Amino acid sequence: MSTMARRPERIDQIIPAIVEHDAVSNHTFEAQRLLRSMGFVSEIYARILGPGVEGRVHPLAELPQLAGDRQWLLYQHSIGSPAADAFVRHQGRRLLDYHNVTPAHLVERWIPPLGVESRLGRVQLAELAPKVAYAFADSGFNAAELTENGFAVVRVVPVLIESGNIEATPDPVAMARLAAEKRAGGSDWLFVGQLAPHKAQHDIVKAFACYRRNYDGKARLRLVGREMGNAYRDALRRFVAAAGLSDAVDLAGSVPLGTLAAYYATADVFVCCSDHEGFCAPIVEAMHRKIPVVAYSVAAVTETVGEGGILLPDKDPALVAAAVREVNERPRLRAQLVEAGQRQAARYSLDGARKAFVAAISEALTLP
Amino acid sequence: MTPSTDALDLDGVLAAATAEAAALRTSGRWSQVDDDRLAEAFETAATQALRVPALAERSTELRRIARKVLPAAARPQARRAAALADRLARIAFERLEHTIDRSRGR
Repeated sequence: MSTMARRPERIDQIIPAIVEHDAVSNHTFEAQRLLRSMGFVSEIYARILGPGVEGRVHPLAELPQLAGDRQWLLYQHSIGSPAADAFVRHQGRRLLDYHNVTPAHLVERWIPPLGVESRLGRVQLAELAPKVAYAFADSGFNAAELTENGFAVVRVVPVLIESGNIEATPDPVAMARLAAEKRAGGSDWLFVGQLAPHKAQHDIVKAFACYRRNYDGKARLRLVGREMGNAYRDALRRFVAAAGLSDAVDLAGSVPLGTLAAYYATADVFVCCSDHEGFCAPIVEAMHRKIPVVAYSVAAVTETVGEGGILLPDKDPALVAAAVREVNERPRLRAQLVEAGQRQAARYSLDGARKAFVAAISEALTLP
Repeated sequence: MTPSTDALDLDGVLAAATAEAAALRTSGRWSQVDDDRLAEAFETAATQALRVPALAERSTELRRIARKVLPAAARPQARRAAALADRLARIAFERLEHTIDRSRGR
């Protein structure tokens, strides 16, 4: 006869690296709030602490080692890291939350150490499988990978999107600047996400060049997000200049939430040409903020967009440009896409994701 | 939410975009030449951007070696000599790049 495990006093989280304005980091902070609301002591321990998390996260070396029945650990897995070793050494129940690992071949040319960490991340995923009692992933795509790797119990729990990203009101100064540019004419393309090779902003620029030439010579492209290493950012900047688009492409970098809200408020279309995404929270944010989405159908993007946007089978610049034209020149289609996007975004509402997370932890508590 | 518009025909939208993309290509308003031009521009930008960190990495390594082998008193002169050599190398490199660009007709 099986009996439930004893309820632990604390469920702490381990994450390899944590930084402000990052989807997995935001998810981890929200998970901490939920674990605390369930009555657990819950702290976050990270091997690398980025800017903006001071006082909210502890160095991994400070992880307390309590008896196994008093402390469980939840590991946020998205990259290979020695942090996984600390997770495995733990004697209590181990839970894993999987956000996918970016394939090494997409990043190693730009950031060789990241390529090494990505390869390690996939090796560790397989090694962790027999040591984890309960695993969940933020998309069906990611969950399938967990199952393939032999994880025994796998559930889908949508990513806990930072409420500020969808609720913040536009910063008036940023709004005035963007609105003034909009009054000069031309549509606004937007992509939000790290400036990173696997997000392939250079492919958005190619499609944008085609669009400007053929449909809207005054169009602007806004690329919002902090850089993952300097090399890709520099390459993108040089590429934009070589394409003669320096005046039309805004490499905004990392921006405060109010400024991000202003970018969303003035965007006409959200375009995603990523080669790999484990979820892509900005797609949901765009849908929530009534922006039609045009995206290359790959990895978890297909599932995140669902029936709420236009999914493209490839990233041919002519096809992406033509799809954006459909959105921008057919008001009825725009209205339909906004409505469909909102329906899709509702599936990933923060409230729903919170309930799914609490349900997953509650289920893990019932396991013997 | 009450639907205020007709059902969204995503397949129809994709078909229309595909037809328009094909029209762009058959009319020559966007061609393989454009794809190749942008692909080459990005590759050039990538090569240039990736060279900078590689040079910085080498420079750090050289400094580390210099600290080991040079007496402290000789380091300022060595630093000045290295800076001069670096400047000359950059000028030579830029001239070489310019020559290559001209030979390619850019």
